Amino acid sequence: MRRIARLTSLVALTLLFLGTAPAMAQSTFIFGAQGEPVDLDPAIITDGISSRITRQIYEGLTKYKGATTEVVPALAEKWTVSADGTAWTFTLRRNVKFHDGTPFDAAAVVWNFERWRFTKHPQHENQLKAGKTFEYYEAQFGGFDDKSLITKVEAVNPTTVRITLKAPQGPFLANLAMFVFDMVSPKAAEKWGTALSKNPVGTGPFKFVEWKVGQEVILEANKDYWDKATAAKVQRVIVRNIKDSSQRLAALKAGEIHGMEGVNPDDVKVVRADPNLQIILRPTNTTGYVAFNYKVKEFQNKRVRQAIAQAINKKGIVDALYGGTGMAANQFQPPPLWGHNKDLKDFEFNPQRSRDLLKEAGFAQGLKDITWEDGRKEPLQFWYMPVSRPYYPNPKEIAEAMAADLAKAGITVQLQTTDWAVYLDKRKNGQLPLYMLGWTGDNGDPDNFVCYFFCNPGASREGFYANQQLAEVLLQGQKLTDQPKRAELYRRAEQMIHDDVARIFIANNQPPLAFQKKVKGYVANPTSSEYFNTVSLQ
Amino acid sequence: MGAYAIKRFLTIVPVLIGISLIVFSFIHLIPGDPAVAMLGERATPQRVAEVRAQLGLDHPLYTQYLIYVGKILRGDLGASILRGDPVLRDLVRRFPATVELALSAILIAILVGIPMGIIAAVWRNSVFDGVSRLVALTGVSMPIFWLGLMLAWFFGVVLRWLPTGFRLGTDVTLASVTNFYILDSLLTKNPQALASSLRHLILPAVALSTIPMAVIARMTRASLLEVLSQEYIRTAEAKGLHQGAVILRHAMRNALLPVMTVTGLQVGRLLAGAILTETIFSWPGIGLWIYESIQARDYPIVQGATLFIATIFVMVNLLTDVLYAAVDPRIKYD
Amino acid sequence: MHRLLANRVARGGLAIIALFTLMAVLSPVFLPYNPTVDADLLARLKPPTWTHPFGTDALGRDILMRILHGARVSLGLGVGSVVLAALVGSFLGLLAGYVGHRTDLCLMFCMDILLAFPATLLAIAIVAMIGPGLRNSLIAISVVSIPFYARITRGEVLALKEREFVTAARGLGGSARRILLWHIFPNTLPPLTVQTTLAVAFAILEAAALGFLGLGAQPPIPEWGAMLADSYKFFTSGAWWAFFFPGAAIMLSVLGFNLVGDALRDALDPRLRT
Repeated sequence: MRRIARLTSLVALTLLFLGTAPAMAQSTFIFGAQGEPVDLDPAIITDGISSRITRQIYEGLTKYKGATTEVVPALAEKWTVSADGTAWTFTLRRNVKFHDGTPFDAAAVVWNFERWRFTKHPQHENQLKAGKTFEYYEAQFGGFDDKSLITKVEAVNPTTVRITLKAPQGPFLANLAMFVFDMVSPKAAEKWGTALSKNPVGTGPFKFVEWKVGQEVILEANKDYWDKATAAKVQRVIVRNIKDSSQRLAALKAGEIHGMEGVNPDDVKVVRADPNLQIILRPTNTTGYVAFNYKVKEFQNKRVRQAIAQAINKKGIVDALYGGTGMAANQFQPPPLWGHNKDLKDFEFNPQRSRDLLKEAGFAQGLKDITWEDGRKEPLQFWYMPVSRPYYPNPKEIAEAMAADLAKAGITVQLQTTDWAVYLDKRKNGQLPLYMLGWTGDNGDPDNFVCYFFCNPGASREGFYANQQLAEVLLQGQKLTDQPKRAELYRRAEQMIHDDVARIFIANNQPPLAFQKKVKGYVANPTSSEYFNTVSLQ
Repeated sequence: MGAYAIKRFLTIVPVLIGISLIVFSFIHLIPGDPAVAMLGERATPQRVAEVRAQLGLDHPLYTQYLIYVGKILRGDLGASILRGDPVLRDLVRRFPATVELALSAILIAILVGIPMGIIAAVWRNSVFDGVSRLVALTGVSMPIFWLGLMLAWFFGVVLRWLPTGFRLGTDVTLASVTNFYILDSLLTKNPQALASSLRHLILPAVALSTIPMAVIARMTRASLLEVLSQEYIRTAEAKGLHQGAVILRHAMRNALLPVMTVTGLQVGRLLAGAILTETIFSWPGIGLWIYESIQARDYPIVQGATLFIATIFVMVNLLTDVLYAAVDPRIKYD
Repeated sequence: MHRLLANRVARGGLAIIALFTLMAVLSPVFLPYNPTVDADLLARLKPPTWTHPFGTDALGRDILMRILHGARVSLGLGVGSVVLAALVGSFLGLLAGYVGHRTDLCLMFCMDILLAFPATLLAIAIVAMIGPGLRNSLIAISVVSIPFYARITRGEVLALKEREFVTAARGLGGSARRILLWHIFPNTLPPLTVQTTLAVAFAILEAAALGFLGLGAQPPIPEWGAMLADSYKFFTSGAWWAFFFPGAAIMLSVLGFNLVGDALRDALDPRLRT
């Protein structure tokens, strides 16, 4: 009988709850991410979904301040640099401990640098064996072992580390603030090996609790955080994986999550109209472009490139398909970057001019087929990305709109796409004749934007575009440390890219994030490095 | 009976071998080098070589197949390319979500389909019969992804009555015992979790139930009509038994046998065919996993999950057959 | 056929099929449409009005126009894959039934294995492996439909093989191929008709599902499933017309074939006639 009574009460309670909307525990911040993290080892990952989580658990020597890319101290309290710019001395914060109790000191810093740098380091080698690479270290510091720009990392005393470089590097401090160079606990790394990716241990304001595969990652506030002033304001963080953007918004509206990234452009106005929700825009740091392959004979003709540039109605696309958060771009660097060239004037949108240019170039009948340098002829394929990125929030729609614009100027393209990894692969091998892609800045330095693309003339990755002068200007900018002088060089580079119509820049975007109104203190950083310790719920 | 079951069981062995052959051949349908296709841009030659070795691509085809089968028999369905996790472990982890959804859908289908079929049969050629036929045919013609979308839009976004994705609200914590959320909530006496998981189940289960509901209703009607036309019912009627009582007492038991069979077949189909529903409702079961893995080109998962589901499908069908034989005395076990 | 026309359900179904067939055949003739130039960003996501009875999609394209032209793609895919499956399947069935012995055993075993997979899953898996596109989805849908034809044809052939007119023809010295083509094959047609009608319904649905998962038609081809996938994301922003109408077109066309198939089955199967 008692059992029946208990059952009845269970049923009654269930019925009661069935009618109610969820009420959330105030101390848990639930964030809707665009997908599942790949890995939680900061040195290995390259994607924003994973780094969003590792940034809560780990910290680096430096970090970006608030909503800017200004570099400020993090685990390093202060630093000095030698006159020739090759020797950096960092003074570390005292009394910092990793979540597993390991002290954070000069030895730990040296250990981390050695793991990144030496392919024979046991915790580097085992990753390679498992098919993982330290991709970003290679990109930012020139390579591993002998190729590394960093030649020596030594512990002067327990709180002082000296790093020696082969040559000065303008963006060095900005590089160190990237999520990849966050410090992992040496003890944990040695204990877990490659499984560190599922058992992250850092010094950050949140500790890792659990990764429910396919669903969510759970973190909790680090009670022993070294800085009481910036300790976490919520007790728990849940990052839930909701791949579909509409589903994510539905969950936000239903109160199942507190915040989300990757809002559909068309949903921005929906969120703005909702009294319970708010939009926070991430300052723009991202540019979408259309790139040419210079092994295509037609594209070797500047008139043809310019015809394509003038046929695309950038403003129309940005106004209609970016939900009011985008702006037409005329150069690679977005306006906030200090290398941005304000005086640059874009080609005007003019389909008639495009037709004339094509006629001048010998394509009076319009452009439909292309010829590769090796003689292959084929219909002109225009490749669009299969996934949404901050610079192209809905690539398929944007591609269809551009294709229609081009058709009106006599340029017929076939739209093509493929799986994302294959897409990047084909691009890397120089197999795409005309394609969409873009870039989101990692560290706020112009070098990170422009040099990556134009410092290797003739690279297959960049469609074999070879402009030696441009590369020289950019490499010069990389070696200087004086910012005004560097800015001058980057402005000149942008003008050179534009004058040659090397590629067509379409849009900058301020990627929108959506939150419940009661979420306070979320600061959207241009590099997407956001720290949830400032977040509170009211 | 036991002999029949064993015999029937033995017939599926060649079928399972055939399934493994087809699933094995999947990897060779990929244009180009499967290892490169899987690894994409991050592939180092070393890693490609490893994956080739892992897939056994360097051996002749028949050896590759034997290696593959050997692994399956040891419970090794390969590992995810992206994360390196064993496929079987994650399959087992995700399967309860799919089963929970499929069984709920079948339950709805039975609760609606059988009464609908009975009424249609009793008042055959009436307006209700016509309508129920149209409803049933519409049910089998329904693109599930569209219905799911409409339900999510109307009940989730317009009316805001029900959640449109996932199995449990973020406000609820549930200790996982079996990973069947309803069962877990009951076991841990957690009414809040029970309510939340039920609310999350409603829309996807309704969307998924349309086809089985239609099939069950049609089958109930057809088999009931057949039974009703048989001699002994007429006799009973002649004896002056009230019609309702006749149907319930005599006809239903026999009429329900074929209904049971189609229901069993539908369970198998639902366990397999929830890809679209799970995708629409972000339901973290096997279907969604397959979809996501196709997008990520994580072929070992697609392969492993297909094999797993096809095996389950065959097993459920077998079970249905055996059960049918056990219940129906007319089946001879020769 | 008379009985079929007398049946209200069948008439409804035939009317729907006729409507969609007309759409597929006539739209290209009377309403020329070039999807590559069709985009009007200023008119995007407009609700239904007299000028755009079904509203416009995310690129400002008229949804009605795209549905009309999508009929050709979707029905073409449905009918095409069924024709392919019917040709291959009934050939295999004829072969298995007539030759018998090991050929029969072998072929039917293969068919059983294909049937051991849930059809949707198999089609999706095949396209996932060989790559997306219209041609590949046509192939995948055909492959999963072949076993049905093979089994039905085989069954009929086995039943017919011993019938008088066949033994007579054999007695008169007819060649195997002749007998198969002129005496047996025509008699397998009635049950195949039912199967074909239902198979077209199934194929349209599968094709739409593949399109919805992004594995079928590639842009800017107007295919119903892909249209639905493109507009799926608007379910939060209220542009219901963008996903309502393409889905309704799928459902209605499939319903048409199912209604006719159901009526045909009733007409051919005396046990179910009531």
